[in-house]
Amino acid sequence: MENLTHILIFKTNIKSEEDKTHIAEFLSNNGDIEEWSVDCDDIDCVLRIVSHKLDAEGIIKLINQKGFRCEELTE
Amino acid sequence: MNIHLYLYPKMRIRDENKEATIREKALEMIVKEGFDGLSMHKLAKAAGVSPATIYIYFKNREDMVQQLFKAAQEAFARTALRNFDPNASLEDGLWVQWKNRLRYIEENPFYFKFYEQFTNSHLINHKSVDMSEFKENMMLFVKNAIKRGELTRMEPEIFWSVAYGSFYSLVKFHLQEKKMMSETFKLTDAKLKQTLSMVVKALKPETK
Repeated sequence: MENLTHILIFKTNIKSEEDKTHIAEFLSNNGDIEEWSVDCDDIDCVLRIVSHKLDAEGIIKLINQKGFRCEELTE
Repeated sequence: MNIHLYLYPKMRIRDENKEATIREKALEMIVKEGFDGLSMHKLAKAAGVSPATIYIYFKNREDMVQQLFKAAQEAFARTALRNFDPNASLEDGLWVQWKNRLRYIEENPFYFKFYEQFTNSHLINHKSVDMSEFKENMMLFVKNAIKRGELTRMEPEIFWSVAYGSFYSLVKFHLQEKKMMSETFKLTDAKLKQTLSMVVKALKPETK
């Protein structure tokens, strides 16, 4: 049984490639984040994070600090 | 109810059934409506899951297409190698290949159409798919046939066109993707055999 609890999904307002560059360096340099991606094609601008250390609240704080909205998308 | 969920209410376990449903619906949507017709929200509705569930398995549409392509290629290679002996004669080996490939297309009609749609797409990174076992088997088969004098030495593209081009044309008539004289062409073993014997003759070196 594969556990996928370390994949976190958020709805954001990171709408454009330009917005993405604002958070890119900051997310890539965070040692607790193994993988991140934003789907700018989607209406919810979904941010996908792979992290075994951070929880949803921690991620939301980080993204809010950068001036973007961020809320967890629940299944 | 999964015991783990009692212990850790926030735990998420890979759900292979959901994943398979998402893949199937995504294939259908892409084949019918094209890449631009695919949206994660529409797909979530069609598959009866939430958008969040889709994003657990796929990062975005490109990632999804890439993963589907990989799955299509792997399924193709698995089916093509079933009961295939690279030491078989040219005629026997091609017969197994034709039958296997026809089975693959009939079992996975969406995969076949999807492959045709995306094989030349910039979205596909062909290097991410390991086809080495399949390719090694095919090369060995050709080498053996040349050694035995059943096959003329020729460029791979020419070999493929003669050995498989006619077969794939017949498949398209069979699937009614192409029309000729008859409205309802059906591919039978007898028709395949008839074509194969002509192909084998065409590939044989000329006797001096």
